[in-house]
Amino acid sequence: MTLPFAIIAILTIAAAVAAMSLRNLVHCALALTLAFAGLAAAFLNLDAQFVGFAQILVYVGAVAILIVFAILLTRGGETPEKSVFSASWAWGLAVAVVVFATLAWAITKSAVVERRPAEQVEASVRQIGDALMTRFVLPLEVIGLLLTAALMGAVIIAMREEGKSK
Amino acid sequence: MLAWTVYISFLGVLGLMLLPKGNASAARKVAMLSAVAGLLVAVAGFIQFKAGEILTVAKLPWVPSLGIEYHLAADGVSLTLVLLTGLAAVGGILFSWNIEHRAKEFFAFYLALIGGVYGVFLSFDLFLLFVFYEIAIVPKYFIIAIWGSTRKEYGAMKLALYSFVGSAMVLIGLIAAYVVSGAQTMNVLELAKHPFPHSFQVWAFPLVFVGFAILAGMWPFHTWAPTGHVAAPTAASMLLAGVVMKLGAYGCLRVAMTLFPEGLEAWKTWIAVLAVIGIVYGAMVALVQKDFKFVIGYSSVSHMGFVLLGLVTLNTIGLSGAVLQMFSHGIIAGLLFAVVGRMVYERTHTRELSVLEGMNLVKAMPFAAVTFVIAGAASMGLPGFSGFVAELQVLIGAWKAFPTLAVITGVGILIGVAYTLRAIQQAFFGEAKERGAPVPHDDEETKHAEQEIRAPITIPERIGAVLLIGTSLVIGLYPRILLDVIFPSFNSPLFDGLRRVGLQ
Amino acid sequence: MNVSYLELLKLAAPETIVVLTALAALVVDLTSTRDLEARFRFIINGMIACAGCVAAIVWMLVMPAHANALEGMFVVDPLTQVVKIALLGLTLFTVLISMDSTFTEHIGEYLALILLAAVGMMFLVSAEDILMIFISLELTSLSLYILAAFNKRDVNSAEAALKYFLFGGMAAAFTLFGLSLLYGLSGATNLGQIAAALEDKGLDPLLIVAMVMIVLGFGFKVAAVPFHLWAPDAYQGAPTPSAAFIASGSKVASFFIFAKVMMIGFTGGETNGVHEIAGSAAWQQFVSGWTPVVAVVAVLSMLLGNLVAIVQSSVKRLIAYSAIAHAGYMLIGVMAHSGEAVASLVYYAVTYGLTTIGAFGVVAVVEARSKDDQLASFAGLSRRAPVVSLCMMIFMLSLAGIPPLAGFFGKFYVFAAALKTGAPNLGLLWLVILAIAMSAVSFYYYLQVLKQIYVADMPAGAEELRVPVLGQVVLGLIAVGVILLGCAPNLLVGVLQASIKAAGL
Repeated sequence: MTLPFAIIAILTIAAAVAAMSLRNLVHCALALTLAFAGLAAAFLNLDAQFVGFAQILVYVGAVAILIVFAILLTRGGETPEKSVFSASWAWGLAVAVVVFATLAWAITKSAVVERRPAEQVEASVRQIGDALMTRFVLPLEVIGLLLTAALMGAVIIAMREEGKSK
Repeated sequence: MLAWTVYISFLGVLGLMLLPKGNASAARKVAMLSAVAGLLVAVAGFIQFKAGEILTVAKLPWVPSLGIEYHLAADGVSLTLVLLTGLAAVGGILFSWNIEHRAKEFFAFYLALIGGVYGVFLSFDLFLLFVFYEIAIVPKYFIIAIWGSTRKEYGAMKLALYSFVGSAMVLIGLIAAYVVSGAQTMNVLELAKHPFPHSFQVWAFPLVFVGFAILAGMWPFHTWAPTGHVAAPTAASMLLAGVVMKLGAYGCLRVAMTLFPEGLEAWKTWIAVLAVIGIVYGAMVALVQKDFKFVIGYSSVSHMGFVLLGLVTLNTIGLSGAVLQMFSHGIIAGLLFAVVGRMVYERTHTRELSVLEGMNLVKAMPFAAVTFVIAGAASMGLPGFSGFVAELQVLIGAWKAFPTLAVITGVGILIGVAYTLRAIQQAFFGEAKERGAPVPHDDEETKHAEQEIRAPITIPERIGAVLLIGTSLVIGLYPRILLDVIFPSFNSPLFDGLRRVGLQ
Repeated sequence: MNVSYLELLKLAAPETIVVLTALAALVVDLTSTRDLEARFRFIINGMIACAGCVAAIVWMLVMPAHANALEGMFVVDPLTQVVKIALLGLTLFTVLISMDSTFTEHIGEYLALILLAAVGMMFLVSAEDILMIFISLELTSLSLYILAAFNKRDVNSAEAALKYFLFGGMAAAFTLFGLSLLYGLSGATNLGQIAAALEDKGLDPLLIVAMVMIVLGFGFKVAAVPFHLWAPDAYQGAPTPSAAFIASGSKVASFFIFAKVMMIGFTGGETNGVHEIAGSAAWQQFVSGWTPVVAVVAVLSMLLGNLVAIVQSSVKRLIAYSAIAHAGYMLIGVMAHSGEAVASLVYYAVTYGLTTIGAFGVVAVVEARSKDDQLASFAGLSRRAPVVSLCMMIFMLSLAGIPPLAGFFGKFYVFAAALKTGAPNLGLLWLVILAIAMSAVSFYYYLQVLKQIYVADMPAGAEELRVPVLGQVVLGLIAVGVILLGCAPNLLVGVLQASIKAAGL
């Protein structure tokens, strides 16, 4: 494990934990943005520049802003009284520890760790674009459909049904 | 041609469904028409049948990739039971002529049940047999739950669940046999030739045998039978005792014993013991019942014990006795239930023997009394009736195979005489005792009840009683009509496996 | 790499037709039928949707194709064609039973989402590439989440959708995690290539993790225990036609792809007759692999589904728990992983889907008149609506596995196929025994429903139910289908076996 990776990982995880546990929703959103940024840094650290920058543009840029907007427009950012911690957290924590331990054990025991890292491949944005329009054209199309469905769903769910609501 | 017994019944169901609502008399007529047509086809098939052959009625590929065929065929055993079904079906309708409440549905369920029963007796493909077997289960539930009497929903559900558990056991055995044989066929003639491994037979046989025997009322899985019979409306009791219990016994013979003869060899003593316990236990419990119908219900358990005992004797006398007993009990039990359920209960509205004792029914309904005395005589195995020939054969067979058990069975027969006489005595010839007599506190009401009791036995009832008594007498006096057909069928290749393990 | 878009369009024509139909329904509803009465809107747009489904079916019947486009991303062969036709059939019936409903005013959107979900299922069926599998799975799921939330006047619908969504999101995360581990281990996204890469590597610990996660993800989609918690609430709260679609179409597609992933992706490494990766769930000869994992899930599903269904008083919840039990039976078919097992599985899933849509259709009819789906609301239904009652009897008995209905043959076929896999030792016999015993239990609760309909007395003052002719015809058609597929199973089995042979599974 290299030092940059360790720093990025700790930063990302800490931000994610903060996003779950902070009381003020706006703070949560900001912490989430930080976690997104950490992920972007991790991608860049792996030389996956396109994905890294896309992550920054889409998530850190657009999604985070959207979330903040949504919070401000709906709840006005008031802080809840009760703590978000509860008794079931202990159970959740226990399960998480067990799952993490299993995963860690599996990874260390796996033959994969002895594998040589793959050769560096230069993947330009152009190549990625080519691939998206050729080999991966179908997934791209289906994602288009998925977004259509999501858009319709968002409109339907957010729309106020007039008159007849119980 | 025999296939038409099945088709006519289901066509009858369709016809009934298309009838307009609330027309009970039309429904009765349609049902009667299909039942009589079914009986005629069965009789015609019986007359044309050449003893000893296996008559293929229909054989078409059904699911070719799995080797499942639509294969209807008949040998002497199945033909006898087809004939029984025809008689019981007609009898049942005659004795339910007075049904007015949702008559259309009643007869639709009734004919579906009959069609399923015909189908089971005629199927030589085990998949098809199982299909018909389950078709016969479902209508029973509805007939009892909707038109029944005492604790009808409980009795119906118990019966349905017992039947379904039994058929689940059978299904496991059938699928396993199908896969183990590896022959891609469900044809019983083919599977009977397959030598299943001994270790497989030893567990598959009891599974399938008991699965079927639950429906045949084998002790200790018999408890559905008395409650079911008591809860059921008359026609359903007649069918339950008359043909449905025979489905189980027939399945034991045609499937379990034919496919797994070595399993039978290993388990026969146990089954014989259970059968004899059933005979004696059923008779003893019948002796102490207070409810008239329960007496008959438990007597059925006792009589079906003879069938099971006959099956496992592994000699042709015992086997043919078992088949004959199936026929005979079907007729006699039907008759008994008809007297109790239709003639007595529908008029007196009670089945308590102690109450009936005070009514002096022999005067009020002499026809019923005579019928019951004749039926009772037949039931306890008086010579001249079909029951005598059948039980005698079973006893001879059992004497050869299990002498000790045969002696105990004799005790069972004696108790049988006792409970029948007791029932006759209490129900019809009781003297009006002081405490038992109804206290006349309301003249109008008493008169009405009195009138109802004295309501004459209707013509359909008389026809039904004569039909069933006549059949029992004919078979009792001249059993060769059936035996000439039953005996030769044990020479067919179906029984090769049983011959290997010592069928004489 | 050169891709002929025209060629691809031709292969994906049925999907394209359905997508265009979805858009057409949306546009027609927005532009021309907006001002009509809701019932007419539903009928007009429903007819458009049905026409689209029929057109796609006809296309597949007329233009049989056999091709593997984009390295397994889109595989068209006779088998996938059959499954797609069945899915479109189920979609058609879902649209038909929803025509009578009044829960929403967004009719165009509702139908469009049903069709988009169907498109997701069709892509899912054709996928042999884990990327494509995941994306189409998401398309299906997302559409279904929204369909579950469609009744905005009822808070239960929102709750149902939220539960479904949260569990679904979680399951999707697991699936994705498992699939990416699989990619990391094999360096391929195509199922065949994955199998080839894993051939000689044995059972790597990470592979086990990946397998467990994938089973978990699919287990959620098919509502198997312990990933079933969403199902009862979602079935009960969601609008009835949506629940019907979740229970039928989504299940068929998920089971098919589940079996395909397991059979194509996780084979290989065979030593001494035992698949190292598949393992063995035979009695007393357990070998670790994915089959024991699935076996555990199947056993739990059969037990819990059937036992909990007994105590339900809401018919929709009862169907939900029975759906969990049926998932258990079908998992036995997955476990058998042979060509015949796939045929039996598809037969089972399709007939089950058809029956369930019918059952939900009847529930919808009753619910529309008595405002709830409690067992008591069905009391005396046979005298109030005889045709609908008869249909319900056929559906319930088919679900219980009574011959000669389709449900019985499905069970028989699945169990026979499972036993054949372990022949001659009958390794999976213990599972088959459990399944048959549990279906005997299930008979009890299905009979409870029928008891209410046929035996119980009508509530005082109840009148004859007025069921629209169209509704009766649709339910009757479904019932006839259930009987027909049960009496002549070869109609479907013959086609399935031929197409499996052609597809080379």
